Amino acid sequence: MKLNRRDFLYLTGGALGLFMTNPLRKLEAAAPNLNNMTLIHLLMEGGPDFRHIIVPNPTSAYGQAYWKNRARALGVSPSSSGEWSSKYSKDFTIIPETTKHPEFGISKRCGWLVKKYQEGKVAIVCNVKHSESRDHQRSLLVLQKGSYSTAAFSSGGSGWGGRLIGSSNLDLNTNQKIISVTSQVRTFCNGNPANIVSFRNSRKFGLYTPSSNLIVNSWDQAPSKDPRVVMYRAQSTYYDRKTGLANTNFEPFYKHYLKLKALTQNIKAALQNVPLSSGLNKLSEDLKNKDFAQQIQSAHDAFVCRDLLGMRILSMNYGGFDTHKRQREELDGMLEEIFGEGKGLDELFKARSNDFQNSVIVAYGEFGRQLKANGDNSTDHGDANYVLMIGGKVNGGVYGDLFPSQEIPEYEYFHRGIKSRNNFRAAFQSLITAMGHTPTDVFNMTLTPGVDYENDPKWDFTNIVQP
Amino acid sequence: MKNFVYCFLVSLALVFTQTNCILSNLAECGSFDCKRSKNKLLAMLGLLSSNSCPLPAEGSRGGLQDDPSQYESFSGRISNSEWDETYIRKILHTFAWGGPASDAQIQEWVNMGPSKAIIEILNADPINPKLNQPVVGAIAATSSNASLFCLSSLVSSGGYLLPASRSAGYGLDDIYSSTGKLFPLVAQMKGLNPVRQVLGYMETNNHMATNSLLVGPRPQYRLYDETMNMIARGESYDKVLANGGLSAAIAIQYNHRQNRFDNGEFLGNEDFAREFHQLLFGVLGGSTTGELEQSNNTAFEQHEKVTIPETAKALTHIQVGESIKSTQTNLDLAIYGTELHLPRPVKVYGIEIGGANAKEKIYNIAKESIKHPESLQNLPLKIVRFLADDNLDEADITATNPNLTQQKIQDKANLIRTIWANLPEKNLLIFLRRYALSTAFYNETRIKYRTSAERIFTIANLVTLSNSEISWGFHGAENSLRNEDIRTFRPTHEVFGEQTGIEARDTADVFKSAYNSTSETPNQWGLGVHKQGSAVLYRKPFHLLIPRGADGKWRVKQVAEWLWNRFIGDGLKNMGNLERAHLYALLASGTDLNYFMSKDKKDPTINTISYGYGDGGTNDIANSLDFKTKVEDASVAILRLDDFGEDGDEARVGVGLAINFILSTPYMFVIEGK
Repeated sequence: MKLNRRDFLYLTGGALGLFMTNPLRKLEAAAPNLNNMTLIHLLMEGGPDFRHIIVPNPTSAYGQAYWKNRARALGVSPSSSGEWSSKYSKDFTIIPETTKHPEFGISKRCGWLVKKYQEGKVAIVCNVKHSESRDHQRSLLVLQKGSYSTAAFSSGGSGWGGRLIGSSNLDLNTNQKIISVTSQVRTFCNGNPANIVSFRNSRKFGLYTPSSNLIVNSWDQAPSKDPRVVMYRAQSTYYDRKTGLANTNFEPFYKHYLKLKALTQNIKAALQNVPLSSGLNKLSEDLKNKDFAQQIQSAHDAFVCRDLLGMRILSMNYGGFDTHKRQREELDGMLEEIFGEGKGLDELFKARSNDFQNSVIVAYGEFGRQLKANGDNSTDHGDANYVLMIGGKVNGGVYGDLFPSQEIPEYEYFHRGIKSRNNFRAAFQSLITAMGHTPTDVFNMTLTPGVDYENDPKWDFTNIVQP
Repeated sequence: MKNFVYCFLVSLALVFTQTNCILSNLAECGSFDCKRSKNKLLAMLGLLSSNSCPLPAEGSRGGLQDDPSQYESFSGRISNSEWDETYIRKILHTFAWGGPASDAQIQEWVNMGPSKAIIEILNADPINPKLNQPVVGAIAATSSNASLFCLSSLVSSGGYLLPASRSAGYGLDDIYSSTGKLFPLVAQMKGLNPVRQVLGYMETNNHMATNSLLVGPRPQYRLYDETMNMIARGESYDKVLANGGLSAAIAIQYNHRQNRFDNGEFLGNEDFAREFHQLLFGVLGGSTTGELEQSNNTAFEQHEKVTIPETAKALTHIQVGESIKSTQTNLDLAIYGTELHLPRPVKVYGIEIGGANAKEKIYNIAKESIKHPESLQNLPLKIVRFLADDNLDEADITATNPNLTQQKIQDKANLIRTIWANLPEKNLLIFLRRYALSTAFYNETRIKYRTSAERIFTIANLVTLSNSEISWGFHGAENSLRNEDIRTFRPTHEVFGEQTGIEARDTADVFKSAYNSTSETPNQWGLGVHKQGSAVLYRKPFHLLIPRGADGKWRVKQVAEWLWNRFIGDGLKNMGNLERAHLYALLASGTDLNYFMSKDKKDPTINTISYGYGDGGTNDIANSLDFKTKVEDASVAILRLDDFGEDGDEARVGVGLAINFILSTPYMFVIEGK
């Protein structure tokens, strides 16, 4: 079609007008700043058995030890290699061997994860030391605080997410924040409370404001004495003048008030004309874990309101991975809800594809599981584990030794776990650097060579996340 | 003629009697038919006392735990001079969800001294007549019927406490709804002992937590009731925990009902074998002093590779429902067999421990667990952390007060350990009573951030004045809990327990829900008068609750202070001038401070102006004689709470608004030690 000058000007002016009036333009960056990455911290509580979804070829030497001794947990006979091969080819997507790793399978029930791995956007970081204890509570504290010397029951102190954010500035509009969509704010987020925004139920976010028919601003009509208006005025004006709570036990609640007050109207306005996709809405019915469905929906809204919230870190969780019994029935379903096609993360990033390009998801739990299955068709607490890092900025692949040959004889015994060959600081160093911080500031830990890390180029993880 | 006169006189007598009844009802409890409801309840009680419930509630059997000399002198005991009304209120708020004892009762406890009073306050009896009486009407249960097992059957039968139309979902077999509905109701009920519910909730939703979606109400209620019966009776704590560990609820949750020893091979999982030591007794398997080194640590090797696997073998052949070779179809009871049980002693903590079946072995293991060095270190702090103090972290300072030191916290933690260690037999009630009378409790470093459940149960307990109010659907806690993502018997962290106080503190959504509830739905807690259109259906009997002043009247200042102490319980420490200004306006006028101050001048900024007190900002009441006079005048206004017309209704509405205001302040979220 040939445009004359008048038509060209008309169309250009129209486009410009549309651009200027689009409210979403104010809320979303035109293109993500390369250094303005979002870390999505997905805490898989309970000790997820990643070796259940990332499995060796049954015909390899490692695979034979694995399949024989994990048979109960996988639902196959310990003595039928035919069954192992059949299940391997039926239930797992084969990832071919490379110079860095042997052939392995990823569970087809984690279809989104498979797809992203094939796109080169998933890093499987192996043999990461998680905890020196197999106790959930202590190990969860270790993982979230990022320190192996964390004492049991030590609830105070900062999480590594809190340290990553690190600022003490109370300016909500320009500062960087951790956005928590979990039902309770996790220890990972702890640091300066001013840097945490609880965004649990995004569509019901904020402080109550009576509807406009109740608020009357003129004395020509008597201002409303409706108890909702009375309490709204009483509470808001009280908190507005309650400035003397600094350094008291009550200060956190005053700070919650300030944060919520500053954000309420803007967030409501931002989300008013942004419906959730049908895929995201359907998660509320589809997912057994309704809490996770809510988190995904709120995560979507957190991305919509990213600039308003100052989001740099998003805190999520999925609990229930302590699968001591009937692992296949319990674990497969949970992992599918996170990593499956048409499920949690898939639907989130279908709706927010730009944000995937500039995000890194860290998915991990407090420890791995034992090598050998237990007598209840499942696995018990182990030691080291994989960490999954997924995102547009991730250089995908296997980092470390996916199936260490030293583990082969260990499979014959109960209570043996994956040995650690590196640590959290090593695993996350490139991520932290990419976010503009120093790894040793965030993970200030004393490490023992040969125990906590190996001096070997194979364990060099400096390039997992690109800046 | 004679007949006419006779009939007339009889009719007159009837009318007179009826009117008297109606007026007497109105005078006593603010509604026309409350006595009818009361009589219904009494009739039901008559029926219920003959009802045989399979798991009745039990109370104390006396003995050492009820001997005041146990609380007279021990390490860290407070001095008697520190024992006063405020101290008692702190105990009530910490251990009894506010425990709405009357002022007269509190004074009686002050007078009798701490050693005797603590036994009356802090016990696990099903009913405590001194602690939670209705302001009007009957209590809703007898002592033996006050177990969750019994109450579940009673409530769901319809006509007991709730009308039939609202009684669905509370039953023993209402798998998805019962535990989330029944317990909030029980927490609200007048007459039941809130201390028993506080401890029961702690044990089954935090300490020995199970998830209702997996386990179901019958086994959970049994675990709750058996645990509380044992605690009330004064059984040693190792037996209490052993019994819990052997329960059907725990066996279903962790699935060791499938554990078996068959043909010389152990088949099962080690889940509860680990958590028996770690969650129940605080034995983590490391040294008590520092880090673990997996590869070198003897304690770790012993614990992980011997103690835990051996304990798993001790947990064999527990028959619950569908477990292998089970003859037990009853889902809430466990039977301990021998055929599939390990036929030898187990080695736990390096000690050989025998027993013919799982029950015997676990009880014997528990005897060793309770005296394990790690348990002595960790278990008492665990209990106190659940109930009373979020500031026990010896490694980090959680409090924001810059004057607190790590040493003070360490000293406090060590005192708690000493109190526990000095008990020759570990008895939970003796421990808690001594703790409550110690400088570890009455301590400036003690901070309890109320969890959502603690805050909501406290409010429900304190605003509910009769069981009739429950029948009519007022002040229910269930929806408020759901708004904060809490469902009883479905712990947030599964077997690791419910939301912690620190999580409640840090999660702005919790604050938001609480803040919004008092403004968006002010009648949820702050109901003063219940109307339908212009017709008054119910008036809260505040005149029976709030004491009159010395001049026989209810004056705003005195009422405000009384309400503050009821809900905050801090001896008015944090009731500052700003709080007073707001409360006086709400009580005196039934409107907020802005409206109260603005109405004479019709200030057009009514919705945006805010008044301070002593902060030096604009509209500082302290700097304006006009403002101060208004506030002072409000403080002496009289509230006609005993009037049943418009004046009285305005006063009752004002009390409701004042309650809402107090609940929304930051002080409702925290209990301080001093």
